[in-house]
Amino acid sequence: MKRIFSLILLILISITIFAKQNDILTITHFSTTLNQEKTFRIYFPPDAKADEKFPVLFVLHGAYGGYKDWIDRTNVEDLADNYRMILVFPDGGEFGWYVDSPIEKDSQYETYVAKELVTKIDSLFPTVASREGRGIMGLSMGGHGALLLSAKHPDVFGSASALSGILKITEHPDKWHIAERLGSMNENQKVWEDNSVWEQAERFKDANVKILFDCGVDDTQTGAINDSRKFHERLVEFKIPHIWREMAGTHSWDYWQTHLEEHLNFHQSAMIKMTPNLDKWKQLYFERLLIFFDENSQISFTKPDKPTICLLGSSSMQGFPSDLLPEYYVYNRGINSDTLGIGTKGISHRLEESVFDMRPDFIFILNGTNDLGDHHRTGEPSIARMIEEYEKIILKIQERLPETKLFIVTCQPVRDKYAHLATPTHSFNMQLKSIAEKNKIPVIDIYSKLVGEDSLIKPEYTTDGLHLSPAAQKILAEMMLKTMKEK
Amino acid sequence: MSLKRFFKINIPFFVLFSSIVILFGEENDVLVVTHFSKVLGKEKTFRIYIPDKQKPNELFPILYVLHGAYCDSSAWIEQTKIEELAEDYRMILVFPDGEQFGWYVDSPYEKDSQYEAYIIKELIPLIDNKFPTIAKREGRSIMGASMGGHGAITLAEKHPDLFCSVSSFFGILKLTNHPDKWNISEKLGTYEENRKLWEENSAYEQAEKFKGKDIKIFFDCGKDDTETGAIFDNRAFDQRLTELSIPHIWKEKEGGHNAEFLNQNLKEHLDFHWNIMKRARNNIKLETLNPKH
Repeated sequence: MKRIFSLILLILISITIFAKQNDILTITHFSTTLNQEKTFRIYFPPDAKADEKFPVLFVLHGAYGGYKDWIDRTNVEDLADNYRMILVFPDGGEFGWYVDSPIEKDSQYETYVAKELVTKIDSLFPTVASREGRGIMGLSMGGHGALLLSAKHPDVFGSASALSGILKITEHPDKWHIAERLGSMNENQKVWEDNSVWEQAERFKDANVKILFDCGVDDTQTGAINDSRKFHERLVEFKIPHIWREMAGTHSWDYWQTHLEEHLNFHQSAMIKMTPNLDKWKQLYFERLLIFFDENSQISFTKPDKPTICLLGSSSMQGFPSDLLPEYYVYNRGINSDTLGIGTKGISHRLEESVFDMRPDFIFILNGTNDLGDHHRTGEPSIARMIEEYEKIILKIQERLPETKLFIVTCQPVRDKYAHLATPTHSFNMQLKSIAEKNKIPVIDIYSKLVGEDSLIKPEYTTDGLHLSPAAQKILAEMMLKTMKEK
Repeated sequence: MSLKRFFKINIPFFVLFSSIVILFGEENDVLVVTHFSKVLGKEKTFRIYIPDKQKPNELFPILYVLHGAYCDSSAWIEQTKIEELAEDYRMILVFPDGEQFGWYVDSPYEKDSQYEAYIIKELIPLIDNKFPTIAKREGRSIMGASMGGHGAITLAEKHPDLFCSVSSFFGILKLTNHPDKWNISEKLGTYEENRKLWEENSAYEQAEKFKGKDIKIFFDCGKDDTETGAIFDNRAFDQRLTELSIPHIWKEKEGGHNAEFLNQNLKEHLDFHWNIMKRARNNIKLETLNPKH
């Protein structure tokens, strides 16, 4: 029996391996810009529909690297299956810096990537072929490349992001062969500034490029953390919307692997209007993330003048009217039908964009009912597993935002066509209260307020057996306001 | 005499020169594409020539071009002037790798030698799915030389729903005439013990499959091509088609089994396919053919 199982497993693994690899082509072509053969890789989403056209994300490698890096060193091709984007992995030269060298004719990587390759990809493959459907990201030298190319060609790229970017090359006059491309900095100050994204930051003004960059706090040896902080300050000065994240980590594949998914989320959201063939749920999910990204980008230079609240959860939060909390600025981070995050989607997968990017003063979490629904339908996940995921979320928030006041809202009771969730909701809430107590987090027990003697929600408090009626929302708002003042 | 010219004239097409180095400038419009083949369970490389688009949504007819024994996907480009000639047409050319002795058949003996399935089930869908092709029979043709001539004709016989025209240069069109040659028995087993399988994969024996199918057929061969036996295969194939009243064009020409023959006759073959396929380009609303592009 065991042997049969291993055999089946082996077959399944082989099928998976084969299924993955077919969607990537490695293409060698003659570049007229560089006057030499160049190779790039291109990833296509699986099961393309006959009329499906894809947005394109260019993914740039770092110094000492090549076009193979991202696919060979991260799980980008597995992650990519969760999106509908073509990914292009160009060859930027080992130290090409994505600039047009005034010295070396065969090192014109700005033109090669932003013009020749973009045109070639659009001409050969089923792409959306507009700036709204084209993004660019990269790490280290490639982070510099992604932001520099989008600053210089905002008509080509609608979104740009950098991991551990070398964002002010004028800080590094003797490093990484940059001088071979641009000449010595002493003698070529202007060329260096023309090719350094910090100095070029003003180009982003009114360019409508969506910008994200992050860096590990321990990335001091390369200087990427200093460059990134300075670039953030520079953008704030110019009032250019952007998202800047300082996170734990170093200049390493470990860091890039960890944060890759956040960048794919960012670009997929930025290009969501050009991605009509996503599953409906994912479509709504990325549309919501886009709203979060846009809101968070604004906060980078305009802070709200009221205390801020983050409402984290699913439909009960998404549908919650902000005007019930008039003295506060409300970031609504609810996404209809979202779950806690067991598997590949859910709240624990979107904490950066839902919570950490805007560092709210107060956070209310209300979630669990959709996981309970999944459990009822499929037997998975167990309530213990849900509680585990919930605790993971609150611990992470406490660690990253120790100043923020966090509150847990119990799941509301249900009735009618959701009545089958009544008992599990009760058990879930009991366990939720115990982890809240363990972690010293105040609980807003909306369940007890809305439940009737029959253990179901009182009819006047729900619109459809699950979602809160305006009367119930009002009660919840009053409880929130009271608790915030007590705190 | 330039290096390239030397190869064009003096090198018999049948011989592999993996060490041939060709100036990069010659491959301007050709992409070299490597992908993982599920059918073969290994990486494969094909080459593809795509004309420059004259308008954004332009779609092209496509001609599959098969190489001969001892060669790979680079042979046609490196040993003939096909790339230069291609510029006179508005067709995509695809040069698959059919392995040195893959014979474009599905071998019951070697799992990673399934070159009929590879081309038909994997490569054609992949290319239609990703590249700007007219993804219909009316816009798809196939040709080849020697082993590739055999490949083109047998694939067209077996899949007349996929191709509107087929042509062969000095094709090995009757495998059963060559039981001990060119590693065919490694793919199909010995001829004595696997007669049926050999016949199922031989153009001559499968000729009847063309009957009633609207597919244009053209093949030629040099009079001096006696050592391989291609000239005898071709004459027999002509007779067989004549017997079956299947329309075809057969031309017996001067020349032998070499690249010179290919270069002399290449334009005629390209014209042949282009004249048939350009109708697809002109007559049909292109958007309906491959809505992806």
